[in-house]
Amino acid sequence: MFEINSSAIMESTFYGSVTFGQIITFFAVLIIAIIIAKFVTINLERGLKDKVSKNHLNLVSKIFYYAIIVIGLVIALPNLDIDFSGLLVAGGVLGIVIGFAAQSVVSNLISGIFLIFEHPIKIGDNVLIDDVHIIVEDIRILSTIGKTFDGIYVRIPNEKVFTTNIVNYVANIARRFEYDVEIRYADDAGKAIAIIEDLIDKEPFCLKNPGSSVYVDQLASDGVMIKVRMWAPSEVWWDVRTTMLWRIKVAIEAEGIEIPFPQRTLWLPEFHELMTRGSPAREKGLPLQQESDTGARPVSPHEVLSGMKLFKDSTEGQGSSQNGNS
Amino acid sequence: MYGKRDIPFRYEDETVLLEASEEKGLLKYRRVTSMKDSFEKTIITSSDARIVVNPVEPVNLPKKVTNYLEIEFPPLVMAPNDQRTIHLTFPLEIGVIVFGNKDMKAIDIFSYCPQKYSLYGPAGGGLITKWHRSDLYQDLPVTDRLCEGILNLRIQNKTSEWQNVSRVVLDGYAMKIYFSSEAVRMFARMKLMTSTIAETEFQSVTSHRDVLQKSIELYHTLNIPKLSRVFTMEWGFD
Repeated sequence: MFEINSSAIMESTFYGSVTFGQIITFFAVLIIAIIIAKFVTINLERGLKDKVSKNHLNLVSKIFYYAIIVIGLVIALPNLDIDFSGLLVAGGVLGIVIGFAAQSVVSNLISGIFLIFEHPIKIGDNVLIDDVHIIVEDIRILSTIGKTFDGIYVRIPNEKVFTTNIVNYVANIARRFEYDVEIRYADDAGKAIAIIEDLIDKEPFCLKNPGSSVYVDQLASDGVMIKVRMWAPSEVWWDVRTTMLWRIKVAIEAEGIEIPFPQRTLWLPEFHELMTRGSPAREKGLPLQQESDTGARPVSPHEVLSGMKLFKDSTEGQGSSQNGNS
Repeated sequence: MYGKRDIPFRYEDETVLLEASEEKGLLKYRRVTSMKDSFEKTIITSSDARIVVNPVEPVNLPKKVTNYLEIEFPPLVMAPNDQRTIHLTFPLEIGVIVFGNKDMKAIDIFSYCPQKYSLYGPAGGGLITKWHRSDLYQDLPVTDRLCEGILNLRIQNKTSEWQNVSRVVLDGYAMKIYFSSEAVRMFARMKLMTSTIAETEFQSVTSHRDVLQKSIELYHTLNIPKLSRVFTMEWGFD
């Protein structure tokens, strides 16, 4: 009963002289451009995955993606009867308006562009930005996305990334780390150094050049402090750092060298001295030698402690008797 | 040990047992060395896969962090505009590569040599290299064929000054490794351009083709025969 006149619909105007057909063509071209852009970037990423670094590949694929869409837009826009000269003027004015209205957005955008060209950080880098320690996962046009070591998502605006101090732990290809290894004074530090150097020599990722450095750094309160410094490729330095210390501990202990516990040496007066303090001999001003001649000998700490108790008891007794006498 | 093998296979000598056999419907590859070190992997393939065992670029173990091989040798002093061929040793890594459906994959790489890495150049901008110390030989040295190969290095001093040379850095992406029943060999050239810059490149063997067999390379560049890959040693060779 009803006959749809499709050609009439397509030719009927939507606004101005733009027909429905032209609008459909506009969107069709745009969709085709998006499909082509997706197809090209997916294949580009597949093809270059092993040949180009992830960071550069990401940048190249984004450039291709947006370039194809812009080309599609340029092809599609004439369907909407848009005058490009007018668009440029309007774009300029719009740009100023947007610039004022969205200063921080524009600032982030420009920072993002500079970050892409300066590339102080790359995807996968282990960095400290504004006191936040992250592994960079993506550098977007407005923000940098990362993940903390606890697996927490972090988004940092590019303006902050660009203007703040960045510490990139893996920007250089190799990095150094160090340990303090303490041994007893009774142990041979030279032997300990030789054991540690041998261990470093056998570890593949402790670099040959720059060489390691192992030396006595301090004669500390509890033992001799040996400083151990070594270089490793940044890619594996954490693995090396976390394994080497225990291996050093095991190796030096296997050779009879021990890591000391914190300790204090107490020098206590000998027992007879404790006993003579406050004794009648001292009170009478007699020389102590006279009493030590009567059988004084070196005593053990246990004896000294028990002697101190006795001494305390006897003085208490004396005190009480004196008090009693008085 | 080296050569092509059909699956299933078993190879055993005094140093290693290599085996690929079917177990419970799956293809199992197994390696046990004399150092009591063992490795096992399951292979799934419906095609007629083959296995090749040969020396591969020695930059993979214990974990791949670089493509470059650095060989340090006792220092030599070279006269201006002179050239000489010397022999050095290089560390060996043995690859077990499976071929099937027009592609290949290294399923196992092992070595009998100790591994060591180094930094060539500054930490910012330099290169991590697989490091090996070699003696200097005028003639072909006798080496432990399981652990070391022989590098035939032609050094050309293109400068007008005497030059000290004690290291060569080679790019793993262009390595050409050959093997025979006696030894594993590589051939390279080193051109001293200035007192701090040298160029190194691998060379293909044109003679001894009947004796030397070419290894399967793991790291490929575009296979354009006339285009050689030159590595520039820009942080010195002394």
